[in-house]
Amino acid sequence: MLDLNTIGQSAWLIPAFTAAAFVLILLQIWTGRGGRISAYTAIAGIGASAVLAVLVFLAALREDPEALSAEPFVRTWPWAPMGTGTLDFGILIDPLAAVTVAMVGVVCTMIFIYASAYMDGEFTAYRDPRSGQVDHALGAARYARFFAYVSLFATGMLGFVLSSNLLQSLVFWEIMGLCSFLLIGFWFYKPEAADAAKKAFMTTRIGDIFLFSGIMALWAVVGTVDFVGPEGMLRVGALERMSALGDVPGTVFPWAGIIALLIFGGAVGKSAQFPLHVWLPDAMEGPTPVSAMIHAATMVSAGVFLIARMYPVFSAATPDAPGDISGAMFVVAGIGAFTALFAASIAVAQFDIKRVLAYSTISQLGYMVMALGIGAYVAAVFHLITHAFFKALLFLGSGSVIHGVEHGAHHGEDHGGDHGTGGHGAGHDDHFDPQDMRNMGGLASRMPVTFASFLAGTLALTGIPVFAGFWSKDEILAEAFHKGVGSQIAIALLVWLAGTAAAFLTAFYMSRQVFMVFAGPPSTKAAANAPESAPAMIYPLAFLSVFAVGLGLVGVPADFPWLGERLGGNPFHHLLGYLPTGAHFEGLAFNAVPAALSVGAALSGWALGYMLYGGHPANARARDPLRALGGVWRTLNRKFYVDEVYDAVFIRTATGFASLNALFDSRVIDGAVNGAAWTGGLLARINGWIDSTIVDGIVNLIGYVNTEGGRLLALVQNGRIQSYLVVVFFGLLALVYMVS
Amino acid sequence: MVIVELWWYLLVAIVLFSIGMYGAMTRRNAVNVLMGIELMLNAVNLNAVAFWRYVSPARTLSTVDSTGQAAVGSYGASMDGQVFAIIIIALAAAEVAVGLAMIISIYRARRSVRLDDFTLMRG
Repeated sequence: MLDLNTIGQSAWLIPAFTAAAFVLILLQIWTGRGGRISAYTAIAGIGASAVLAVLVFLAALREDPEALSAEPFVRTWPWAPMGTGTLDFGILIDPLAAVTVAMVGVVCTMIFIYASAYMDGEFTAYRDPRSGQVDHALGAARYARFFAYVSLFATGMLGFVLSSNLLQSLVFWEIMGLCSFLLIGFWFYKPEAADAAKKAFMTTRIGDIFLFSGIMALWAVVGTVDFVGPEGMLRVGALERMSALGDVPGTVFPWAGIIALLIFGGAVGKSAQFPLHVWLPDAMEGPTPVSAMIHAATMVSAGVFLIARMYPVFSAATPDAPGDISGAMFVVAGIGAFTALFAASIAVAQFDIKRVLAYSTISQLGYMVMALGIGAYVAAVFHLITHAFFKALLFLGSGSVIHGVEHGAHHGEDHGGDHGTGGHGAGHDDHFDPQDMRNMGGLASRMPVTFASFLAGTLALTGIPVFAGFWSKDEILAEAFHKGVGSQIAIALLVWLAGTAAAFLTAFYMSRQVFMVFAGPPSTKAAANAPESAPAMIYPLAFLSVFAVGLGLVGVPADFPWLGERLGGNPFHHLLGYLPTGAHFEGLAFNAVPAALSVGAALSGWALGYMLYGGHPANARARDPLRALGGVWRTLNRKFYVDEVYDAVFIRTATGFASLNALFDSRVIDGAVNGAAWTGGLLARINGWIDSTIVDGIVNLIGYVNTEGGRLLALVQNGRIQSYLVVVFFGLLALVYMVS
Repeated sequence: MVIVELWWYLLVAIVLFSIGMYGAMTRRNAVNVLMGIELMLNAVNLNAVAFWRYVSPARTLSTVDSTGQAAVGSYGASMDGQVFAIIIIALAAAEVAVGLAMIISIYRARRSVRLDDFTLMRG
């Protein structure tokens, strides 16, 4: 049963289950039955997908990783016959896809379960504008709509991971883009949410243009978009054809490098790397489960996954030594390293609980991207998987906190009586922000499960030993250290430095967050009254915590003292260490120096966080201790003014150009049009005068003559046959006279 | 013996035609008008036969055949006038048949044969 060739035949059901759930929920909405049942439908869909995905993963584990990487399981259906062959639609299962699809399935299932409780507020959130009564039907439909969107979203991600060719990947990639837009703008009646949705859509669209150009270039150069078919792009033959073409004229990159960079452009958009990272923090306007889904498990991972999938193209110059850094990878590593440090420093100075996590996500994605850039392929995928679990956990935890604080706020209102209305309205007080960490504090005792799981996620993220993030992050840093210090490669050294510095900042902003949210006395009445969340929300948290704590153990270096041997000698590396080209990544010997340094950085980050925020968390009334940094603080708090710069450079330029065009349009073009119209009108009036006076006059005259003449002649036509006879007779006489 | 000249016939024909003409123009009764028309037609017949007898036969009698002998018995070679008369008689019969049928028909509809009553075609 658990044979990949058997179970793989039905792997297409993995995205199909969620797609079916999507369709079913749509039908429920259209027939007015949307509501609680829609959440169950969605959970059933993703649950079935997750079970099948895990089975596929387990089946893949039973295969030989080297053989499965070289000859992945592929099942295709003809999609579009073309002149030179057939474009297929298919599924591809290799170790990378198997691991990722299982991760996506499990994490998404947890998020769906969590969301079924988190989105409860929708049921009572809408009021009939006329009667003022709560509109339950609309609320239920909106609740159902949310689950339709997330089901489609999960379909996009699962289908993307299992795609057997790049064009199919693009299709699912765009489905995700669409769902991201719909979900970020789920509360579209809030202007910020609508703006954020537009921003996310347009920013990722810039990346998608690069990706699409990359696909076209790939098609032009190797004539296929297939990944691993006999002529597939990830095969040695195609890579050699790309290399044989030499450099692209006018650049220092070979064709493979240009294609890789174009595809990387897509990943930059989707995975929110600098300079296209701006959409992700704003995407926090969406409901929190969406944040967890888009910004942890699925969409942002898609970019990293794409780089991993296309990795042989990135390293095409040296197919036998996949760890060597090509020109394209140099760019990838640079952007990743910059993003990791850049976003981590911004996260330090944010107050919105989800915004901190958003920048943290950007930073961690930077880790993965820079790892891929320096050839640490396995470490990058490892970090992708562990990060998905603990970042989903952190987002869901923050959602639980926000939920609790919101409820606490309503609770306080009901009993404080400062608002006569009370009850649950569409929104809370405008001046109270339940996402602002300064309004929290002291929640550890109020929300123990949330606190424990959030702490587990935080420890994993900050790379504290034994927790998941430590192993994956350490593997990246170890590889960077090995290449940077050992092999003297400058970019790897830079990556290592940036990574270690980012590890310090990560520990600092996460400890700041934990202390501000959970430690000390409550800052507001809302925080003091916050209840623990519903079971449907805290069980997923507990489940994900297990992974946040323990998942890293699958990737412990084989020669790690005592532990490596007992954990099977790094099974993760064994599974992922091969490429479709047949190349193999050698496992790195454990090096205590980078590990010790990164743990040291993390611990000092925690220590600094404790010193500044441990005893007295910053609340709404107290100044944040970091404000002492002055201009640096303001720069970080304003996110390096990137949004402002973009606003000034791109938005202003675009709107300026648009208003110039509008001016040209309204003055010149409209003027010309109006002038033409005016001239036409004048000519028409002249014509009209001629027509009505002269032409009509002639016509009327002819008519008049005819009528009057007819009237006269009608006198002759008196109907008496004998008078006609007389006329005929005398007419005949006259005729005879004239003839003779 | 009184020689009956051609103009005698023509005179009778003129009188006949004039009487017919007068009747057709002045009678109010449709049947009378029809009778006037008959008179006119017969005046024409008279003319046709008279002209045949006095004008056309002379030309026929002087006809010499190709051998130089007088063509005795070739009266039958030209019967124009008589044929005309017979055709006109036949025509007059048909005309009277149609005319009377119309008059009967119109009488049934209108209970009248006075032409003054039938001015439907007045412009």
